[in-house]
Formats: sequence, C-alpha cells, structure tokens
Amino acid sequence: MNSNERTAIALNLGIPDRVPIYSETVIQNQIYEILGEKNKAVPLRLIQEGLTGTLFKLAAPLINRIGWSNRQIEKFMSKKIEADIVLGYDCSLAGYSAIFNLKGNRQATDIWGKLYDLGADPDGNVDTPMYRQGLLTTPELWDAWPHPSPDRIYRALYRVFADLQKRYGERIYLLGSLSCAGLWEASSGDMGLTAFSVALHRNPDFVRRMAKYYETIWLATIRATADAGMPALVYEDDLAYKSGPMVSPRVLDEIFGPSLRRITEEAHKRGLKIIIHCCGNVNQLLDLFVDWGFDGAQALEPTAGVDLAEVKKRVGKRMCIFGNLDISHVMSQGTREEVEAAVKSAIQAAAQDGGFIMGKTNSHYAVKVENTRWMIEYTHRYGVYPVTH
Amino acid sequence: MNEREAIQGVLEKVVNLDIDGVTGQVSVALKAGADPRNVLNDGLSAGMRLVGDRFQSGEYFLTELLLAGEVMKAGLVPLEPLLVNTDIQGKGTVVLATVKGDIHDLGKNLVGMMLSAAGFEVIDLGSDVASQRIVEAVGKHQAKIVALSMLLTPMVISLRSAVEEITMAGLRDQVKIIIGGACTTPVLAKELGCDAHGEDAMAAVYLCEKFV
Repeated sequence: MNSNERTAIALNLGIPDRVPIYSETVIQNQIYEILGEKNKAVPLRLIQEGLTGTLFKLAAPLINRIGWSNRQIEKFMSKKIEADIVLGYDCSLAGYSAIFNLKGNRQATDIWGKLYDLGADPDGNVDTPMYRQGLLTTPELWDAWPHPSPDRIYRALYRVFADLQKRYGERIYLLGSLSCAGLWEASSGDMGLTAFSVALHRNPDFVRRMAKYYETIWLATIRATADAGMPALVYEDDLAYKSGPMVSPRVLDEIFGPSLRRITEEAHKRGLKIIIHCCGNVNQLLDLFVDWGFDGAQALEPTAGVDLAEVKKRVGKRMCIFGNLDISHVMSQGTREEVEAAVKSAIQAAAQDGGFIMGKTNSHYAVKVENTRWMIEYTHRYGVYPVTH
Repeated sequence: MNEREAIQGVLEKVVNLDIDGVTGQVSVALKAGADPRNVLNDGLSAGMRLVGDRFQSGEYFLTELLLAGEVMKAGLVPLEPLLVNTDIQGKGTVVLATVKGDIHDLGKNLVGMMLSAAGFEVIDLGSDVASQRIVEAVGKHQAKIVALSMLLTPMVISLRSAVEEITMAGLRDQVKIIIGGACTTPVLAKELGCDAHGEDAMAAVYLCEKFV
C-alpha cells in the first residue's frame, strides 16, 4: 500500500496497512536540516540592520511590486514537500501562504488586511510573520480594502498546486490550503478581535458579509485544489483558545455555519476530502465540525485539554481524527522515550478501528527534527494494523 | 429612578453588554445624585465582575468578555472627568507583560482589562518585554504583583530570567509573581519559583485579590 492509498483509506474512516503520518511543518530551519542543505533563509538582521537594512527598507515597495518575497515562499513550498517525502510522511499540507506585502523592513501586511511583525527563527532567520493587529477596524475600512477576487486566488493557487501535484503527487498525498483565510480567523483578524466583538454585537449583517466574501475565496481554493488534481484540502480556522471556543458555538453556527456547509458541499461535489485545522480547546465544537461536513479534524491540542480518546469516542465514527502529538514539550524538548510513549498513547486512544492519522498538533520552530524522526519511526513500529492495545 | 436603581441600571447595562446604552445610564445615575465612585464600583466594576463570572461558567465567551471591556470604556466616558480629583484607593499595582521573545498578547490584554475593572492599577508593559524592563517597572511603580504571560515552552527561558532578575534586584519579597498562557501550568509555576498559575483572566483576578 502506498502513501496515497494509505491516507485515502484513513480519511474514508477505513483501516489501511498502518497508521498514515501527516506533516504540517513549514519551518525553514527544519526543512533544510531534513534535506541536508544549506539554510537558504534570509537572516533577519540583514534586512533590519545597518546598510543592508536601510537598502531593504527603501526597496520594499519594489520587492512587493515584483513579488520577490512571495516567489521565495512559493519556491519553499516544494522544499517543504521534498523534506516530508525524505522524512517518510504519508501526507503533507501544501498551504499557500505567498500572501504578504512588506511594510518597510519590520512589518508586513497580508492581502486580507492584517498587520504582522517580521520575526526570526532560533537561528535568526526570517520566519513566519507574527500577527500584530487588524487594520480594518470598521466596516468602512473593510469595504475600502482592495480585497483580492476569487479568480485571482484561483489562478495563484492553481499554478502552484498543479506544479506540486505533478512533481510530488504520486509519492505523497497532498492537501491544499490557503493561509489566514478561515472565515472566523480572517474576519476577526482583519478587524482585530475587540472591534470584531463589537461588530458581532452591533452589526451581525456586516460580519455575515465578511463571511460570505471568505466563502467565495474558499470556493475558489476548492476549485484550484480539485483542478490541480490534489485529493484533499485543509480548511484552517483557529476558532478556539486554551480553555474553549472564542465565540459561542451557537453564534458560530448561526453566522458561519451556512457558509461552512456550502464550502464542504463544494469540496465533496468535486471529490475532495476537507479537513478542519483548529487550534485550542475544541471540545465544544466537535459535533459542529461533523455537522458542518468536515471529513477530519486536526490539531486537537492536548495542552488545551483535548483528550484524543474522548474525541475518538464522540466523533471518531463520523470523521477522521488527526492526532495529536504535543509541540509545547514532547516534540520540542521531549526525550525519545517521551515521544515513543506519546505515539503509543495516541495509537491506543484513536487508531483501533482506523480513521486515524498520526501527526503533530502544529508547525513550530521549537519542534526538533530528531523528535519528528522518532514520531515517524514509532508510528511505523506501533501503527501497523491490526494495532494492539 | 432613585440613585440606587440608577446604579443597578448601570450594572445591568454592563452585564447585558449594552454598549449603546451604558453611557446614557451612567449619566442618569449621576443626574440622580449618585457619587461617581459608587457608579464606578457598584455599577461598572460590579457589572464586569458578573461578566467575568458568566465567562467562567461558560455562559459568556471571549467575544462577550472583550465586548464587556468596550462597554466599560463607554461607561467611563462621562465618569472619568468626575473621578480625576477623587481619592479612590486602588487595590494595588500589577505589572503585566508577555515575556521576551513572545508577541502574543490577547490573554495578557484580557487579564489587564479584568484587573482594571476589579480596581487594580495595571502597568501593561506590552509584549516581547525584556526582564530588565519588568524589574524597572516593579521598582518604579512599587508593584505588589507581577503577572507574566507566554505561549510556548521555549519562552520558559525568558520567564526564568524575569524571576531571577526580580530576585537579584532584591524585589522578590515585595512582589508576588503569577504566570499564565497556553503552555503554563501550576507545576511550571512551582518549578520557576513563581507564586501561582492562573488558568484564565478571571483566575488572575481571584489570585491578585488573594495576594493583596
């Protein structure tokens, strides 16, 4: 059984030859370490300090115009998938994140209207920008923003996804995605959570309008994913935090539910599986994930109080469970024995009847490549079906 | 409407998250002859306390908590000019920060909002804050409590550094140190020599009230 077959069976809630393993890793220093290549990332100090920093700051508008930094992100997507194949993953997130415009040499905006700080990984190289605040704090500002059209998003994603699927699709199961565009995360992030909370109270129709726009963006993402030949996509939307949902599940369903149902219906109509990635304590949201039509749930953070066995019991017969090795300790600082124990524990909790995919909760620069190798090694050892208690 | 009913009305506006009605209700209370300090303490702050209770019980969510903060701000507009020259005794000063290397500030901001509503003076140093700045703020503001936030375990180094620098500056006996954030636990708080761990914003308020 190859990686594509193994993953497809698990996503269909079946029992493959062994538990497939999913990668969401997008961290540069880890990718280049896995590939044994020199880290090609740009040192942050080079673009922020001294003469080069000054020159970079002056050149930022030109860099945006020619799309240089976004092309680097697109190129990096293939490196990420190559690394996942080398490491032995079965399925890999192909998340499109070439969505940034530099704002000088310290910050960037995304195409949706959020402001980020440029940040560095532990080696001092430019890494995933960190969300700072929403720039579109009022309906008027949101309406005035030059939102990209669904067609533009389709063209950008199709070009990249088709290339990735052609080059790697036979060796690894690819799941397309689009960064920072989840209906909740994008609309609340565009405004900033406080302004969004007020808008939700004062002007729910405006919030519905934002949701509708992002629905069209996801429908375009689905078309691009399907036309590129990828078999699945990941809908990324962090609806929860450490102790529960950020907004009432009732309100979530009322405002975003109709759009989410149309999104999953479109994915299924085009033959795609669609997985929801949602950080935080999702215990109150699991039934909604099923009701909205998602085929799987990923992240399921143990540090946020999510119990994999409980998740399996509640929704494991209705959706595929991805789980859920902790990045805050086990995958970043844990010993070989701790990783082995975590793999065994996850398999025991959720793999028995199939419909389970092994993986870390999130991508983060603190995760060690060595620990990731151990996760894969022990899944190969303990994840062969039939798995035993 | 008498003074007592008007203040109760302010409280209800906060609890019911009536951002468009709270300012008017505060004015009604003032016109009814209410002392601005009572409007603040028994109306706005007491309302925020009930909002916090509803948040803890799961009736309200983060968006309601944030909205309540905005309701409180709207209620303070007619009140603030009248409070300038009053001798309100706060519960004490809390220095609040997200530690060096971490820019996540949502949880910290919520803690700050709820502490302010509960009557603490909050010195919010922001995010990605160096230990030395925390030490300076404790000394300068004679803080009773330092509340530190972080998201992931790599920032434990920064947290440890902050505790060590506070100790080295001879301020450890003067302040209680509490921590919170995604990867923090009571075990971690103990390991680092902190005084307590708070699970969420309301827990932080309860801890601070216990410590002063």
